[in-house]
Amino acid sequence: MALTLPEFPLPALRRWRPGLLLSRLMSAAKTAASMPLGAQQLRRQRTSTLLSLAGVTSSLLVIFAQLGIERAVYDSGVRLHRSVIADLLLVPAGFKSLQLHAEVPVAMTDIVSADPGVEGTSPLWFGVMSMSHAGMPTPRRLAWYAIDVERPAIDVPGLRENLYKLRVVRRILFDRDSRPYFGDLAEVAGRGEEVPVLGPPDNRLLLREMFVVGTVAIGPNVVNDGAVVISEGTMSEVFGSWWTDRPAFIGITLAPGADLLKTRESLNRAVAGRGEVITRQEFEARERAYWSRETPVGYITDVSFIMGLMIGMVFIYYAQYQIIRFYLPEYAILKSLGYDWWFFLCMIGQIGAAIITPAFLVGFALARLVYGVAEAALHLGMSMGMREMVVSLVASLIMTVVSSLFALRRLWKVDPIMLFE
Amino acid sequence: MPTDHHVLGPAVVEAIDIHHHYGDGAQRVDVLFDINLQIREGELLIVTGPSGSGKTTLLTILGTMRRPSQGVLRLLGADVTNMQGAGLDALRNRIRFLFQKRNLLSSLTALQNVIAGVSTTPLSDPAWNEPRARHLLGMLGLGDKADAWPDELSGGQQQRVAIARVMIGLPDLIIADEPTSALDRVAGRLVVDQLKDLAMRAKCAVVLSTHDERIFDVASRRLHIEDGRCFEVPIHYH
Repeated sequence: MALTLPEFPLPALRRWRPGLLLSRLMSAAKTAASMPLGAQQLRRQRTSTLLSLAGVTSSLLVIFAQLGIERAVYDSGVRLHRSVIADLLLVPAGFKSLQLHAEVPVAMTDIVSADPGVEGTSPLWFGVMSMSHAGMPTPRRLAWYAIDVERPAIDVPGLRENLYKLRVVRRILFDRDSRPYFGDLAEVAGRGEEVPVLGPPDNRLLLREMFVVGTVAIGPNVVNDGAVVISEGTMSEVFGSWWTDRPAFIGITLAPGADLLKTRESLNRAVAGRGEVITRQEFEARERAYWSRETPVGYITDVSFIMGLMIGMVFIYYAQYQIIRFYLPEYAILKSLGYDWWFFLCMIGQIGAAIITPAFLVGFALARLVYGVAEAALHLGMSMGMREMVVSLVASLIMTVVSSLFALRRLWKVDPIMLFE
Repeated sequence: MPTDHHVLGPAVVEAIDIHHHYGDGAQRVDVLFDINLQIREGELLIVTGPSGSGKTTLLTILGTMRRPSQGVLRLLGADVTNMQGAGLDALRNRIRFLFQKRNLLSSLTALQNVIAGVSTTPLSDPAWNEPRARHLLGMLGLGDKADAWPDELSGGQQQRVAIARVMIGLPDLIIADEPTSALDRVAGRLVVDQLKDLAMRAKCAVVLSTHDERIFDVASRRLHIEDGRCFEVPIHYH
C-alpha cells in the first residue's frame, strides 16, 4: 500500500527553550481544553460521577447554609446598631455586645455634655422580657428598647410617625418584623387599634399590662423573637425607676464642625475608664466580633464551613481517583506521547471543574430555596448576597485545586513502560 | 528486499556497549550484554527473540524510557544516557510508540486520538491538526471512521488509527512492540507494510519487535536476542 504523506504546510520546527511556568501552564491548559478527554471519561464513569456530583452538591449546600446562617446571625445582631443616629457612642468600658447587658452610668451624660464638641446626648436602654396577648398560646421573649422620646437614639422605620404615641405611659410600639409567634398583633396594631398585651410579672406575680399602639420595623435576632420600642417613662413604670440610671449606651451628637476623632479622644480622657467612647462603625464591628468569636455560633459556622470544604474535596478527589485508576494505561499512553505534568494537572482540573460547575449551580439553586424557607421561619435576614456567592465560588475553586493536586500525585505512578507489559 | 545501507540516512539511534541489569547484589539479574547497534533513517529493524530474552528491555532503553546500566545511547546525535529534564522531554517528543494493544484512548474518537499525537509537538497547529488527521485517516482507509469510538473499531482498524497518530507527529524513531500479535494475517500485514512505507517515505527509523515470522520480509535488518546478547540474522526474502 503506497502512502502519500499529507501535503499541508508545516510550521517551522521551533527550538526548544525553557518556558516560564505560567506560559507552560497556559499552553497545557489550551491543549487540555482542546481535548475533551476528562469530560468523556466522566461521562463513561457514570456511577462515580453521579455519586461525586451528589456529594459535592451536598457539601456546597452545607457551605451555603453556613454562610447564610453566619450572615443572618451577624446581620440580625447589628440591626439596631445600624439604626443609631449618633456620631459617637458612650458604651461600657470594654464593650462587646448589647446582649451582655452591660450598662453605662447615666451620670456620664453630664461629663460628656460638658465637652464643647458635643451638641447633645441620647441614651438608649435595652432589656428583654416575655410578652403575650389574646391571640398567643404562650408568651414569647422579645427585646425592649427604651428611648428618650424627645431625643430618640435610634431611627427605625415607623418610629418617627408613632413617636408621639409613646408619650403616654404603657404605650409601646411593636416590631412588625418579629417572628410569626405573635399572631395578628402587628396587623391589628398597624390598623391603628390599641392592643392590650401582657408583659413580665411584677413582685406580686401580676402580669404588667401594656398597649401596643403602632408598629416599627427592626427585626428579630437569634436570641429574641421580636422587639418593642418603649419610652423611658414606660420603662420606669413597668420595670422600675432604677433602670433610668443604667442605659445600655448613650448616643453622642457632635456640634457642627467638631472633629470626630479629637472629640472622641477628649471624651475618653474625660470619662477616665468609667465608660468608652467609640464610633458607630466600631460599635457594629464589636458586636459582630462578639458573635463570631465569643459565641458558639461563630465556631459552629466556621467548623461546618471547613467540613463542607473537606467533604467537597473528598468527593471531587473520589471522581478523579476513579478515573485515574480506571484509565491509568491511557494516561501512560498520553505520557508516551510527550504530555507533561502541566497537561495532566489541567486534565485532572478539567475533571474537577466538570464536577464542580454543575454541583455549584445546583447547590446555588437549592441554597436559594433553603434560604427562602429559613427566612420565612426565622426572619433573620437570610439572603443570597454577593459575599455568599463569591465565598462559595472561592471554596469550590479551592476544592478543585487541592483535590486535583492530590489526584496528580496518583499519576506519578504512571509509566509508559507498563504498556510494554 | 535487500538491505541497502548506502541509501539510508544518518543514524537516528546509536547504542554503544549497552549493558543492563535489574536489582543489585544477590538479587541482580543481567538482561542485556554488550549491545552495539546503529539504526538509520528509513530503516526498519526487526527484533526477535524468545520471551525473557531482553527484547522489551532493549526497546524501552532505545525509547529512552529506561536508562541503561552501562554504555552510551545516542539519539539524533545527542548523548541521552544521562540526559534529564526538558532536554530529554524534547527528544522524547520525536519518538513514537506502537504497542501490541491498548494503543488508543477509549474516551476519544479516532480523529481525536490522531490529533492527540501532534498536540505536544512543535508541528501542532490548531488550524491544521484536524484536516491533517482526517487526511491521514482517509489515507489509511479509515476516512469514514473518523468519528468512531475505539471500541467500535476492529483490532486492525485500531492499529491503523494508532499508525495515523504516529504519522501525524512525524517522529524520527518509531518503536513498535509486537504490533501484529493481536491481529489476523491480513490486518497484520497491512500494519507492517504501512510501517515500512512510513520508514522509507518519512525517513524515520522503525524498531519492531515480533515473534511473527510472516512479517520478517519487511525488515531492513533483523536482530535476534537470546539471553541478553544480540546478533544480526540474514533475512530470506520470498
